[in-house]
Amino acid sequence: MSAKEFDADLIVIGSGVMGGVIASRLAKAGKSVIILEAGPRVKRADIVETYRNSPVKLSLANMKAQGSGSPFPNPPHIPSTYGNYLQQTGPVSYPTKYLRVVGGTTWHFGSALWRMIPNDFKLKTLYGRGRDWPLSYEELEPYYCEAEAELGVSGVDGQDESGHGGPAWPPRSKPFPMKGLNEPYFMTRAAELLAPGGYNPVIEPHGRATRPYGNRPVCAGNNNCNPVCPIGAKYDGSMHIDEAERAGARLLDNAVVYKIEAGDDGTITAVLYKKPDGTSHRLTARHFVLAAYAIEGPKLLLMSTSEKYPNGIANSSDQVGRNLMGHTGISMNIMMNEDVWPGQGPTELLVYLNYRDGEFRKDIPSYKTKFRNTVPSSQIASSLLAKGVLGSKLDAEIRRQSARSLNVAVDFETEAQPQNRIVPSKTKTDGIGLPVPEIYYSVNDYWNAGRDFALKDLARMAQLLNADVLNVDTKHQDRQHIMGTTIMGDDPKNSVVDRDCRTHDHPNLFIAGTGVMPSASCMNPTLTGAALSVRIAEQLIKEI
Amino acid sequence: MSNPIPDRTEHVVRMPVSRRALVAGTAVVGAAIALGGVSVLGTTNAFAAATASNDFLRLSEFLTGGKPLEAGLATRYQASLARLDPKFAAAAAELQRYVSDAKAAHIDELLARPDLSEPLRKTITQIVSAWYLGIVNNDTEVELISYADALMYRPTADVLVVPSYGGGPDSWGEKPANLSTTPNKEMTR
Repeated sequence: MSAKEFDADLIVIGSGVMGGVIASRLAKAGKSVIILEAGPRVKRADIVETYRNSPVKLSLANMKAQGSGSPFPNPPHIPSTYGNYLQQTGPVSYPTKYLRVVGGTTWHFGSALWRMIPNDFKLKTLYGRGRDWPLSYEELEPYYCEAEAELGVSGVDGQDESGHGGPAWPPRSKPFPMKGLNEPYFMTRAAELLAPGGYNPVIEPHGRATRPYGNRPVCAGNNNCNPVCPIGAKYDGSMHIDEAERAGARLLDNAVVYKIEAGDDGTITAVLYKKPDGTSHRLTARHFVLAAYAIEGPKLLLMSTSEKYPNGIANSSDQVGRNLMGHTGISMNIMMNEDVWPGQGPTELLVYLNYRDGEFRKDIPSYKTKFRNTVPSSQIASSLLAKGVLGSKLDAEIRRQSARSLNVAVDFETEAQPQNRIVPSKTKTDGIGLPVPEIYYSVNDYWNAGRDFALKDLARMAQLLNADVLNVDTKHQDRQHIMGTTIMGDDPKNSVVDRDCRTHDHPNLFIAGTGVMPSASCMNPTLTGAALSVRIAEQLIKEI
Repeated sequence: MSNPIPDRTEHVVRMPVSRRALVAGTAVVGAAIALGGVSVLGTTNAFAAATASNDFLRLSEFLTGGKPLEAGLATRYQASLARLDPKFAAAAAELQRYVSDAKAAHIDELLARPDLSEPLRKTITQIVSAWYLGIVNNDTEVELISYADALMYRPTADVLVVPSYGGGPDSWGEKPANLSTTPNKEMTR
């Protein structure tokens, strides 16, 4: 059709992986597409340079430093989540870090790209916990394959990703697009020591190229996946935006959408956005996709109130913003009694999934245990110098601790609980006068039971590794995996979108991303969000 | 134990610190005469600065174990330390005097001296921290002087990369050679 009647066939709000996958597919199919991104375009070289020149560097090896800096831009119209932008009102802090730039949060993700397993979709039926999905693994499987190809996933075929050391699981109709990377020595050695305890190592599937893939070069072991891959070997959403633009899509950056308008029949008619100078603009389209991740997305829906929609857009169920989930975790630092040298190669993880699935999920949440592989020099040297260690001993200790310190982290599945929610603040606004997100988060006894169980499990692992436990942190570590705030379900009374990610209330509005997930599993959710996005794209190509 | 780092150079600075330029004014003139013969008014300030900077370089080399350091970085560390801590210049001069008098062959020998006072030890830590972490800070400000050349990466340079400066495709995976580190027990204070 011609887009004369409308500014575009499709408007996509958000230029991250989810919006990028949909926009590129629709643009390639000849549809007119506008992508609205709240943040600016960024250049890889600039981010790398800013990172290198920054006195305070982020590191996943140091949870304390996680809030202290980011090389990504922080202008007043998109305040950085590394500052005090997110207001915390609940008993447990949810200090998630997402990026509002062209390409989105995958710029700084670790790039773990896991599938969920079939039982993850039936949490309520099988274990009496959380919610079921209206979709099955079998229905999503072909889309997982397509998403793996889109994002360029490297993985080890034949692994039992349910963690029981059995045959390949979950079932897959296609092999991984790329083979895995070399395993650093510490993984081989840790796996060897843990094997007698029945621990089955699983090598993480991820988004780093192991052969030239599209425009991506092979991973060069920069160990800098977070905050930025210096060479673009690791997937990020900007790659799909580039593809979408080459196919004719238009991207407007620094365009902060602040209102979605709907007609009385429920059809979404327009979006309004502000530029950094405060001016307002309006665009219309036939279809809309909200792909602004699971904090800004529900915030926008809740801000879009009107006489006809006093609770906001897509919110007849009152579930928008609710059921916020994360992989709230704990971690342990240990000192090996032999040199294993973590930090070689990229920051890919060694993962254990013995407690990913089983009857125990009735009582404790599914969890994964991951060994970090991050160059630790900065934390170790800072800590030694703070203690006044000098002279030859300083060098010797940096070397010993670098060779022997391991960080082991646990990520728990959390249940969808309606009281855990994000709302637009009634009191605080950002640089262009829009409300900032206010987050209430808590954990329940199910999580506490998981924590207590996993602490014993971690102690057992440390023993098998002949390692001394240096410290354990049980203070609800955030894993930056936002899920659940625009939940999917068959019943419009208790969910926001249907099985196709179409909002129950508005036939031409879809929501893309991890916000629609009814259950979280214990695995990084990006690939699942991407598979759902591929499915949305397929549907939209039929409808437009 | 012996030095755990594979030595890349024969050059170890053993007697790094002169008493030149320790005290403003007379010491500077004295140094100028001793080195250059005739000092001409007007060139003295630049010369004094260069001399002081050279002394800071040699002091830094001694404090960080004796290997050569980069003169340009020394100048920048010194300026930043002085800017962020008004008492630094005096404390460094004090330390320089102490080090010069002590005539220790190695930093470990100096650190073992019973008369090494807490203020002197604090200044040593201040200078060593700057070089190792690549940053200088006070309570309100932090400045980066060097990233990849921060000395904290030196003890593991044969095994680990400086993040964002990777070794290239397939540059990892083998059991690292030259694994020797000190056993845990010996390192416990």
